[in-house]
Amino acid sequence: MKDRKNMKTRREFLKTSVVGAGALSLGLGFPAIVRGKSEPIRIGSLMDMTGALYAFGTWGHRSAEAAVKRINAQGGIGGRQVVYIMEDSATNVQTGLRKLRKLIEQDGCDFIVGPCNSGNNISAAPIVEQAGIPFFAWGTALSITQEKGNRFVFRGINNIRHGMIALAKIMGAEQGKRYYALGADYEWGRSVIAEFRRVMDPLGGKIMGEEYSPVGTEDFVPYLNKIKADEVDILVGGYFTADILKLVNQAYEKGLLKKMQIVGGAMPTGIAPKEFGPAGNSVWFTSYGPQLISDVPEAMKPYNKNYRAAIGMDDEGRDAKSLEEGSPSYSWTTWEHVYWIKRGIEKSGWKSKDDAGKFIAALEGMTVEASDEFPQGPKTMRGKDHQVFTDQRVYKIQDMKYVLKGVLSGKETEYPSEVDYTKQKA
Amino acid sequence: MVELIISQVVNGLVWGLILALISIGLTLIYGQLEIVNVAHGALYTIGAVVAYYCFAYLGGWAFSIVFSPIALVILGLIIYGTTIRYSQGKPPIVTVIITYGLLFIMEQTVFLTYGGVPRSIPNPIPYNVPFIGGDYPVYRIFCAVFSGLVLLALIVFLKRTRYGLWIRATRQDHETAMNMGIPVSRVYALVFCLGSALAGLGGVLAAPITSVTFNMGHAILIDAFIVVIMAGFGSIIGTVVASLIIEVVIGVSAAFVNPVMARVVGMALMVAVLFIRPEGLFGEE
Repeated sequence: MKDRKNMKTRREFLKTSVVGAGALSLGLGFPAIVRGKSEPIRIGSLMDMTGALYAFGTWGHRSAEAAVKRINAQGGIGGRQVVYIMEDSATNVQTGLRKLRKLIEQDGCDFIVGPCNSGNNISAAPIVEQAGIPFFAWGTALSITQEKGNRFVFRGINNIRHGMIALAKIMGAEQGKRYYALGADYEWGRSVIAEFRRVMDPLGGKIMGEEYSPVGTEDFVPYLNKIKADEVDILVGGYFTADILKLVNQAYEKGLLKKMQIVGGAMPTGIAPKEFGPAGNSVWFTSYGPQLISDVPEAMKPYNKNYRAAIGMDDEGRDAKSLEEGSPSYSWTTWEHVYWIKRGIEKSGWKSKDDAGKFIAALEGMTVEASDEFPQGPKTMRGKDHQVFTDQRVYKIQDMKYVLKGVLSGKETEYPSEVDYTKQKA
Repeated sequence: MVELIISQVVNGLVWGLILALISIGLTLIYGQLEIVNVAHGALYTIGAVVAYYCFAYLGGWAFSIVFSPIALVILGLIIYGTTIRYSQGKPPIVTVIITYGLLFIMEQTVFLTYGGVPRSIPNPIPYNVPFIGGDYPVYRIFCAVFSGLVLLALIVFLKRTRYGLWIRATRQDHETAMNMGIPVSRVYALVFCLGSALAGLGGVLAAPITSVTFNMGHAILIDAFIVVIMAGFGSIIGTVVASLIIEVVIGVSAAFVNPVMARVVGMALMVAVLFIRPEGLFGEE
């Protein structure tokens, strides 16, 4: 009898357990705060894993993934584990948008870490705003955190404007004032040229010509033919990866770089300096991070070393195993984007998507110090435009090596914001 | 302005000959096997990668002029034997999908072995000649002459040799050719290997100009298709003429309009040709 009673009780217990588990899985019967505590935080990552920006995307993915792994190993954020879901944008706006929607709608991501392709960041802005998902842009075209951004878009890396302000101050007008501009025909390429003009023209710069060619141009000679070597001091190249290598080498081949300098924004990322050969001696470029560990200030070296170890990058900025050139100028950004998310959650007490407004307000104006979480250095997320202001480096290639020519602080490259997102609803 | 136009015409002719070399393989394969070979871009890439390895490990880019076509012939034989021969006679869209798959497989194999970062090969002939108030690289002139000679040799091969006769006969009517005792399947394999070798040779010549990346075949594939469509699929002479016209028109247009518009002019020319002659400049109705 006693046994029968016990059996009944077990049956009842099992029934109750099944119903309870069902309710739990449906999220019923518990307040949101309890549910939120047990559910993982989902970070979506849209990266240019293939296509023209492959070198940026693969390192961006490595960094973001390593940051999530580190956070989870240390107990997660507020006790909640972080799930990292990566999609390949293929360096293509249409593909990127499709994958972004998948991350938001199917995967239910709470935050998105964006790709390096400026076009993808710009096109993502209205979608994340509509979905109410904070988005961390990685492209460096100025407009991402100006007229084409919104309150849901943050950028934890300097942009082309910082780079060109630094280039003008460090390179100065000593190299000459007459320049010819050639850029990739999309937002970033045009942004490079526009910002170079903005800083050089007040210094007496004179533009001798301006052209934009499609990404993936094989033969630059038809455009280089238009440049008169004795009338131009600087060739501004708004290109990246293989395109900039082609432009520099073809300009050199044509004899244009005997006196002329060639400048651009973070352009040799993913390319070893030796690939430019003797043509490299004319190359100046802006860099958002230290290429070499020797370029890092002593106080920040341990952080930078730890970061490089976590993502498998050596002191020279290469893959530690294959010695293939990495992306030290850019890759730290996605690592730090994950930590911006962590800081925002911790400060705002974010529990679920409903708290996006609180999260955004918490990040606006936040200052962070150099640490293992922010290995690139101290920085402030300006409230008005959600733009970070941090150290900006300028490099030159000399004898097939990267040579640091100067560093400006975030204060020294500051510019007024033309927007104020804090007035927008979140 | 006259000087600039002459410079653009000369560069258009030079680049046009290199492009013709790459496009010929595409048209040859379509003309013979009726396969739209999207994988042609990957064969071009592999040719360039072989050139890089010859430069890096054998000490000279020039070795690749011999090694790259040999490697591509072997690869062509493997691809033909395992995939292409089974795709013949299938609707064009099926061949496009199959060869796109091959493109993807080859490109990713290059990515996994060669790596993802761009590499450059120093100019093998680092001299310039004075040309209309500027400099012109001797290497580009070499490429044009070399491409011209290869194209000439190809035409002689097709017109004057027994294998050339077999290729032409098989192209006209493969059933009759088979009845006449021509080893048709061997001819198909030969043509596919020849097309692959030409793509590889194109990659070898372009590598010191454009740098070498695992996905470099994409951009050139589009250009090659434009040329082949404008020429009329299968026409060798048409392919040479079309690539010269396209590159000269784009180059000269670039003297007056921006580079993007110059390419638009090139596309508009292709559309205009297809409006007037839907079969292409030298295509058969």
